[in-house]
Amino acid sequence: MTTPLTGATLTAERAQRRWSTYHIAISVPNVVFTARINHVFQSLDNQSQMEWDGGTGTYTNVKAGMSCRIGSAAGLSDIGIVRVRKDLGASTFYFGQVSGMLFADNQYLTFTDDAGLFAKLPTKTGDIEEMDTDLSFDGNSFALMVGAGPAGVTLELSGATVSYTPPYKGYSPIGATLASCVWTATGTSATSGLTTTTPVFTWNAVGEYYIRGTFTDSVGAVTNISRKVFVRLASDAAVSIKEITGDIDSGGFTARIEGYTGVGISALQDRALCVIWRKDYSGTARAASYGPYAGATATRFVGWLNGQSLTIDPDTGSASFTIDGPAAWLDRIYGAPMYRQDTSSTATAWHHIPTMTTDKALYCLAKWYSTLADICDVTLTGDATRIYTANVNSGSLLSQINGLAGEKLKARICFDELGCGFVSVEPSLRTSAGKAANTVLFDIASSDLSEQLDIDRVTVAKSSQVEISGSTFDGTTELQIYSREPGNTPAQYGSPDAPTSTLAFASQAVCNQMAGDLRADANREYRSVSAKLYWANDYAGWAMAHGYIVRMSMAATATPRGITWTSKRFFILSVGLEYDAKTGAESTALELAEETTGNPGIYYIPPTVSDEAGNYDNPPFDSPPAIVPPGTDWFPEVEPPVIPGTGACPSDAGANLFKITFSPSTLTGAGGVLSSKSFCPCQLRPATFTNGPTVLELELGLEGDMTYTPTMSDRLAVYAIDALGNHVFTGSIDSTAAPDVCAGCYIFVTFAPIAPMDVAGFEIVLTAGGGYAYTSGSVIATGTVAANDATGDVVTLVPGSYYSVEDDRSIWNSGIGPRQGVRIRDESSLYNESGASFAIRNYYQATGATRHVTVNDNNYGDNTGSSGWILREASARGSRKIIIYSSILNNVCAVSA
Amino acid sequence: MGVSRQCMIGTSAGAMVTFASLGISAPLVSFDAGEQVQTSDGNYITRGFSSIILDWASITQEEIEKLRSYRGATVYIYAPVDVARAYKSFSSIMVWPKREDGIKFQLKYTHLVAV
Repeated sequence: MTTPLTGATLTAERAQRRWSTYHIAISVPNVVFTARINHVFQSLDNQSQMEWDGGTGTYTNVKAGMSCRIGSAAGLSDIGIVRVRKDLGASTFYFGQVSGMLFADNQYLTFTDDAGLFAKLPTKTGDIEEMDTDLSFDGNSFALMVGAGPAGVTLELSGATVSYTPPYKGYSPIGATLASCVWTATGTSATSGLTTTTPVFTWNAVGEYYIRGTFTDSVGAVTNISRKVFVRLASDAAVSIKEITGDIDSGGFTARIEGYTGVGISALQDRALCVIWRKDYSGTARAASYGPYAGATATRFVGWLNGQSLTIDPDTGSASFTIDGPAAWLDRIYGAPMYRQDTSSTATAWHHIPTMTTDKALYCLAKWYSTLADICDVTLTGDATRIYTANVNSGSLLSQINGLAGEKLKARICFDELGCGFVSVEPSLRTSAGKAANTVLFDIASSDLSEQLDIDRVTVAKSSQVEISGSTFDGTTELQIYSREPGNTPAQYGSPDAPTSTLAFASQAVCNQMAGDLRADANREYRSVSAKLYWANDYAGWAMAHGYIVRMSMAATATPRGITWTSKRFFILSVGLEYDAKTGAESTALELAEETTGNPGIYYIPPTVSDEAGNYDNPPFDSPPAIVPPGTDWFPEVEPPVIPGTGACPSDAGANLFKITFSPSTLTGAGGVLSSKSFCPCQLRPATFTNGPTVLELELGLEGDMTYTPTMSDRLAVYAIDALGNHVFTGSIDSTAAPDVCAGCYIFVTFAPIAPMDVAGFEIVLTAGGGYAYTSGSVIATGTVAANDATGDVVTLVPGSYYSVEDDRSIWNSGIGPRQGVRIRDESSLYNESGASFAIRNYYQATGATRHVTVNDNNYGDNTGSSGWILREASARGSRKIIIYSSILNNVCAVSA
Repeated sequence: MGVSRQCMIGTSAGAMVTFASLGISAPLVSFDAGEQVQTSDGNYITRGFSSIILDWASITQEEIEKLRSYRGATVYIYAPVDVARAYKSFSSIMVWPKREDGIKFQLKYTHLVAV
């Protein structure tokens, strides 16, 4: 998106003589309804509903999401505070499931219009899953997740009235759209647009008000959200803000208030919603406030009071306390375990998500496992990589969200100062498209800095090698893929690291890039740069939560180590908004980290853990052996080439070639290995492409009967294969050249699918068989032998040497019919073949010196006619065998998925 | 009616009076535009609120007690703000000094907002 911190806004934020006063609104929630418990509890375990009576007020005003204080006397909450999980019934109160809360008949129920952060607990009875105690899977299960801005905002009543329009954004895991909405609010003096996404609420009096939105999507699912609005006066007492700080590791912001005397201490209840707001000035004039949320620019921080941090000064009676944003509270709230599984069809149970992505699983955590999505904005990553399963262990709600987001995408959630959450991938680990699209918030210049930069620079790499793995899932098959960067040889400095094995990848190329990016991030030269702006940057926390970029241009004289930067890109690790009460000036302390981009890694084969017998060796390992995909047996020991590209395979894709390696390199037809494979994920190109189809060029040594052609294609086949080793395309072997003998010749195998086709590699398959063969050489002797000559023509041979004898296609008669062919009568033929100039050629290894050539019929007496013969030297070519000397793959594209 | 050239204070913008009318001697008036901060490029910027400082080289306890009656609430002050001695009215917060020994006395009016 376009940065909002530009032009006049940036100029105003940087303006000299700018100062502020800070104020705070602390929620004292309105009582909506009161009643008494009318219920005798047989057990205090797993309680989620009770009967009530003795109500005062209108019970239908109690809406799901509000809170109920349960006390031993009217108005107290000494028994506990629970969440209203359904609109209050005429006599039944449904609340978030609890155990051990000391409910008793006739206790007091005080329903208030504050909505807090709570877990929603699922139940499972047999195979029946239900969310939030008793919600069955139905058409509402993928209802919109709606964002309506900060959980609370403060409006300054400087005139007769003040108005507010909450923002709207919706997320549907099934692609539904908003069909209708209805807004309500308490205490308004006027309203408009209540059935639109831009309602206008107007108030004319100071107070604490409650906004509620009900949204119905295009499939009829309904979502409710709520927000708080505080209307205050300019004359509100100022408060001393010690600090407002946040960082991406903790996931958000906290604020510290000191010396607060604004209201009675009794109003400072634990978990009370607090909104810090301010008035801005320029010189001696009131000035506009700025911030990322239109209509709420005066709101500076939103959180809930941390009662544990509250201290009272015994002399002055003033209070000091900490206000924690959503992240800190989510980190304290138990979350139930969650399991979700992809489905290609319509979901029929809670644990099914159609075409599941990490975002969709995170949606479930935010909407169905907590009230986070009901009271805060949550923006998901936008990543569309399909995943097969999402498993979330029990833990804090924050750890669950970060666990899932980190496990799949190296993402995490971060809330800005106003409590709006963004799940995002660290800028250095985003895809190239994600980096290019990332917003640059603003450019820091030396004129912005009130203190010299503090630079933590690392010039010796910490990581020498990164190995990662993860899975790709196409809706049918989940395949584990691996990458290693910089390659099989670690870099000179640093330690090897294997930071993750669970990521979801769209392709091997994405996996390779992530490996490189992770190492580059681990080795970033500028690990931390502390920059203090003299001015209040009202967008820094919001930008940090998004993972936006800031750039820095510095002359060598402006940095402590003489470093020169020109538009150097950084992302924000932490933000400290420092308010100086003695001057009214606010400065911004930023901790930045260099944005890095690594080189793509290579595919590698993880070692198999086994014992001497080749079995998986469980002890002493605590974990089961690594999960490897089917077809692992065909992984070669040499990594495939990196085929650059994004997965696109246009018809004008440029010509390219890659050396690939088949393993094993020798195939033997008689009792040997008949298959050799090469792993090389790529796309085959059709013949219609500008640079032609994919051609595999093989340099082979051929032995035995592996003459080049025409028998080549009878005894050899070359296939393209998928990840499981299945033949998915058969290559066409070029037979235009026909050498009889090949001890290092080339054959060309063409793969020309009708459209680009993903394959995982190639396989050469040799037909089984002995296939001995010999090669005829020069002529030693010739002659013509009578067919009835039982002695034959004498020839002199060298024992041990190979010879061939062939006829001249003469036809003689055996007594029962015409025949052709001659032989060496005294030797056994090893192999024979036919040819154009002879009917049969027999090969021999001589066992004696004097031998005789006859026709090849033992019953010489009834033969008639004669046959010419030729005796040649010969050599043995051995049994059927091919040796793969080299292989070059031409014209392929990077895999598309 | 001409423009007043005397400092005035009051508890509302419309009810400011001169020090003379309160029986308080005229202070030395100075205007502080804000905090000076040097940035990394070597320049100086001014930030924070403006203040008016009233200095009495000698003041009586009786005068201090009259000034004390203005302590604690928003104070309005009419004072010169620049070298041209242009007078303006401001709301402010009066910062009472820790030291009130009756010899040298200083009052600071901070958070100036023009009214």
